[in-house]
Amino acid sequence: MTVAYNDVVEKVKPGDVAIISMDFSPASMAEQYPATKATVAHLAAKGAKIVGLGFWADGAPFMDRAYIDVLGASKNHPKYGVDFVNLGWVPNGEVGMAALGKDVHATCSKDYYGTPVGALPMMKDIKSGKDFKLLITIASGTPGVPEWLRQWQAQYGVTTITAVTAVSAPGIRPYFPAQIGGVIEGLAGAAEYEVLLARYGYKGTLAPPMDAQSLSHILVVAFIVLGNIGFALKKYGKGK
Amino acid sequence: MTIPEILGTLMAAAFTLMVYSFFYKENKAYRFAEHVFIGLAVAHGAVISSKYIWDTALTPLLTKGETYWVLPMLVGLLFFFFFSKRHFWVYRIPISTVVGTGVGLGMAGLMRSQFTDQIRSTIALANPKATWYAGDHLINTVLIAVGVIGTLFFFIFTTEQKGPLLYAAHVGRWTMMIAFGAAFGFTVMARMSLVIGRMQFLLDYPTGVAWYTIPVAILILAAAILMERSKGAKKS
Repeated sequence: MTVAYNDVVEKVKPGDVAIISMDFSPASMAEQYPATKATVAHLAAKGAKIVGLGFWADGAPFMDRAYIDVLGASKNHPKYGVDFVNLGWVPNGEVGMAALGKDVHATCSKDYYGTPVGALPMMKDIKSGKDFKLLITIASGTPGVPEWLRQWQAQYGVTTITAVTAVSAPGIRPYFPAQIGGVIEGLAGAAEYEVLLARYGYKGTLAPPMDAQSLSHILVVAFIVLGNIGFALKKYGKGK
Repeated sequence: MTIPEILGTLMAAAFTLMVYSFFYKENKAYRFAEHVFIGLAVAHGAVISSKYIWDTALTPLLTKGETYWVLPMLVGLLFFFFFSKRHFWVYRIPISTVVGTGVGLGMAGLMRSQFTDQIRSTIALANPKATWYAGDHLINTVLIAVGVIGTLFFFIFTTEQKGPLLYAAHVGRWTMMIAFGAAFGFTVMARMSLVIGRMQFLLDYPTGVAWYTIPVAILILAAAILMERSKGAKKS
């Protein structure tokens, strides 16, 4: 799943327009933000034009933070408005997604920093959902993946990939690979993606957390095995 | 780090520990953090919603004379009739508009993305070049088809489940059990990730400042426990 996600971004050509939607809140930042940073770094390395936004009110600021952490600056970056933009929060969930697909400029009149969207050079050629090559949703609930699939993937045929929280991952798998080209599943998926991006010199941060994650899983498995041994002893002990 | 950054980090660390104090028991520090979190979330939502209306509707109305924005804003204002017992019925107008639009838009895409495309994926032919762990490998396409059909049979209640129908329903039950097990495993991973994220923040983000709150929190918690026990001892 992570390899497929990486392969889809790898196929992006310089100048292709990708939309990244921050559909999560600070509560799932530990899982979602590393994947966001890695995706922005990968798209920037491929020379893609990035349109960032968020359908979750608390999620939109993460786009600004990701630009600062990965590219060094957001609105003060010399390439802001040329290679990447942050359109901020778009309200109304699925209805907002449908409106954005029909007319980007009418739905987002100003960017996250208050600049009119029409004044941003790269936005002059980006009018509707048809102008996007790639849709990436960093999602942890509703609105999230199913809404994007209904309003963008089904309507405009935009190639869609997603990074989801581990809780949502089993619900997203049925869409792979026919409707979603690749999935990053939780912290483990983000760590795998960081490893794949090492060839671009990307320095990940998830190796120590994955050690803790693996250890906690071993502990949970050990408790489950112990519980089952206890259950079996009780059951068959009575039989004797 | 600048002083505001240090203060912000310490405050975030203090709130994290206030929330984790719930592990001991429900207490005033936890409730304070909970109320502040809800208040901040609501305030943030209210501010950016107002800004969006200002940018998208009010500014074009006032500066460009785009009068058609008056109508959606008036419909939006009808939401406030929620607070009127006498005119509560007016509140149903914006609610029905929002729900109707949402359902209409959702249904249009739903039939394709969550119905026909899903059926097509379920009966898709295997890719002979796929690796064994890929979803479109022969083994996995057969497992998906058998699992989906078995699960559908499990929910047939109009006839008694016996004979072949019972076997198919058993396949469905096993499929669902495996799916629930996978969901449980993923949920454990997600919850652990959140704890690990907070621990990383407390121990090393961005230069270890947050770490200093931990001994202070332990001392406060120990003092609170001792005070509570001494009160309990006096009562008895």
